[in-house]
Amino acid sequence: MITIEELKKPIKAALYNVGLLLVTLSAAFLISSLLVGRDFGEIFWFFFRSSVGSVDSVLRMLMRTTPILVATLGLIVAFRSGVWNIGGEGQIVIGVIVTTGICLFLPLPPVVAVLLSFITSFLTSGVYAAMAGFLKARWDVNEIAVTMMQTFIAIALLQYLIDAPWNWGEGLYPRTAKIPVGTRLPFLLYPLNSTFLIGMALAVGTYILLKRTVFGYELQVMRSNRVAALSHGIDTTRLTVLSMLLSGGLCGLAGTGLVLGEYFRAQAGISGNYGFYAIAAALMANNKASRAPFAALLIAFLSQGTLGLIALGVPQRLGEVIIGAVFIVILVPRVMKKWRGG
Amino acid sequence: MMWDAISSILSFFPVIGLAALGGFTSQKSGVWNIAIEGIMTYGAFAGVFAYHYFGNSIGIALLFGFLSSLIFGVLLSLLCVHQGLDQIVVGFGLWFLSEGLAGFLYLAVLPSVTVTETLDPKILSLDPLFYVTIASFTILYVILKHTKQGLAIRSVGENPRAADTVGINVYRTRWICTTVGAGLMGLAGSYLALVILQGFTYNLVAGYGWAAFALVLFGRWTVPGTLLSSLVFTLLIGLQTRLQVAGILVVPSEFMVVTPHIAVVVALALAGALGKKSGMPAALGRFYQKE
Repeated sequence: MITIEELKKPIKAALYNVGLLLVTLSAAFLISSLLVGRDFGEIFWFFFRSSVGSVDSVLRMLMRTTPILVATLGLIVAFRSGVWNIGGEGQIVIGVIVTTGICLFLPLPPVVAVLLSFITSFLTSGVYAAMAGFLKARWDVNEIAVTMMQTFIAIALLQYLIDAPWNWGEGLYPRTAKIPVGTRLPFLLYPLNSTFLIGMALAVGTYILLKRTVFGYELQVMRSNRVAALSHGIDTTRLTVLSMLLSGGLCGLAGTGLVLGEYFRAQAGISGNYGFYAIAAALMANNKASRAPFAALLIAFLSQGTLGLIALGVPQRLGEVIIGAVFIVILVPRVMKKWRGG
Repeated sequence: MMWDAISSILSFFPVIGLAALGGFTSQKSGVWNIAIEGIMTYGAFAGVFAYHYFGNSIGIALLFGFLSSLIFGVLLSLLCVHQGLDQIVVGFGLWFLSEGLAGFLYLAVLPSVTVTETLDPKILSLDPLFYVTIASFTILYVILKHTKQGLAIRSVGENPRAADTVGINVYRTRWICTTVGAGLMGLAGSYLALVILQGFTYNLVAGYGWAAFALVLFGRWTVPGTLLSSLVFTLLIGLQTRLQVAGILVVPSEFMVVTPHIAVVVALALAGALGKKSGMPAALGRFYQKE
C-alpha cells in the first residue's frame, strides 16, 4: 500500500519543478515582452496555444519529441558510462545520410530498404561514435573535442551531398528528392508518425538494457570508478567502445526516423539541433532512461512553444535561452548532488 | 607583397589565440570551460551591440565584449568552484544560454549593423589586438613561470589540497582564472565580429570555439604549446582559403570550414597514439572540498 506520506515527496518535488519552470518562463516572457513591445499575456497565450493549444499542435509536439527522445536515450547510454558523447547531432546526420542513400539509390523492395536503413544507420553512426570511444579508452584523447569535431564534419558532408551529387532536379533547394512512397513509414494520426512508437519502444529497450542487464551494471560501475571496474575484471576499453557504439547507433536511428517518418528526404537543417537538445534532455533526466521521455517532451514543449512566438516578433532563439536557463536554474543543482566526487 | 599575404592570414590569429588562451587559463587552474563557442558568440553580439549603441568605437566595443563576458565566468565559478557542480554539465548549460542569448538579443534589440571603423594603428599591417594577443601569451607565461600568483594557479590545478595547506586561496585563484578566461573568450568573439566580419551573423563562430578548446588539449596545457597550436591552426585556415582561391587546392566549399577541424581531430588522435604524457592538470574538473 502506498500511503499519503509516501506520495508527498514526489508530488512536492514535481510541484517545485513546475513552479520553477513557470517562474523561468515568466521571466523569459517578461523580458521578451519588454524587448519586442508585446503584451505579456499575449506572449503567454501564444506560447501555450502553439504547444498544447490544439490537437494538431500536441501531435506536432509529440512528433518533435521523437528524435529528441531517441537521441537522448543514445546520449544517456554514453553519459552513464562516464563518456561525454556530445556528437549526437553529427550521429543523427550520419543516420540521415545513410537512410536517404539506401532508400533513394538501392533498388530494393521497400520493406527491405526500410529494415536495411535502420540496421545500417545504427551501425554507421555507431562506428562513427565508437571511434571517439576508442580514442578515449585507448589513448585518453578527450571525447568532447573529438565528437564535436565529428559533428562539424558530418554536417559538412550532408551539406555537400545535398548541394551537389544528391541534388537531382531540386535546383537551388539544398535537398534530395523524396524517397519512394513505399519506404515512408505510416502516420498514426497526421502529423504524428509511427516513428513515435518506435521511439517509445526504444525507451523501454534502453531502460531494460541499463537496468536489468550485466552490461548496464558494468557501465554504471565504470562511471563511478574506472580503477574499481578494472579490478573487477571489466574490460574498460571494450566497454567504452561498446557504449559509444550503442550511443551513436541510437542517435543514428533518430536520423533514420527523421527521414522515414517526417521529411522523406535529406535536407539542410534536418537534424534541427535535436542532438544538442538531447544533451540537455539527458542531463535533465539525470541519465535515467525512464525519465528520458519526460525530458524530451519538456524540451519539445519549450521549442514548440517558442515557435509560436515568432508571429509576435519574438526571436525563435528564445527557445535556446529558456532551455539553457531552465537547465541551470532547476536541474543542475538537483542532478549534481548525487554526482559529487564522481 | 609576401608580408601582405602573411599578415592577412595572421589577422585572424586573435580569434583563435584569445579563445584558446581563455580556455587555457581556466583549465590551468582546474576548471573546464566547455562553453567557449557560446561565450564567443555572445561576445560577438556584445561587441557589435556596444559598437552600435556606444559611439561607433571598436576599442570601446572590444572592451565591452570582454567585460560583459566575464559574467559567464562568474556564473561558472559560482556553480562549480564554490558549489561543486559538475563542470561539464554546467558548461553545457552556459553554452546553450550564451549562444541562445546572443541569437535572441541580436534579433530583438540590434538592427543590422555594418562596422565601418577599423582598428588602428596598424604596425606591420597588423592591428593592435594581434600584439595584445601575443603580449597576453607572454605575460601569462611569465606569470606562470616566475611569480607567486603563477605558482598558485599551477598548484590549484595540480593539487589544491597541497596548495591550501601552504595558504593559497584555492577558490579565489580558480574564480579569477575562470572569470578572466571567459572574458578572453568573449573578446575573441567581439574581435571576430567587429574586425574580421564587420557585423554579427548568427553562426559566425562556426566551430572555432570548439577548435580552440581542442587546441588547448593539443598544446598539452603549456603556454608555448597553446600558442604554437593556435598559430598553426590560424595558418592552416588562412592557407587553405588562399590555396582554394588560387585554384591550387580544390575542396568542395562545404568542406572549407571543416578542413581545419579534421586536421585537429587527426592531430589529437595522433598525439594520443604517440603516447606522450598529456600534461593535463591533475585536478582538472575536480571540485575542491575544504576540510
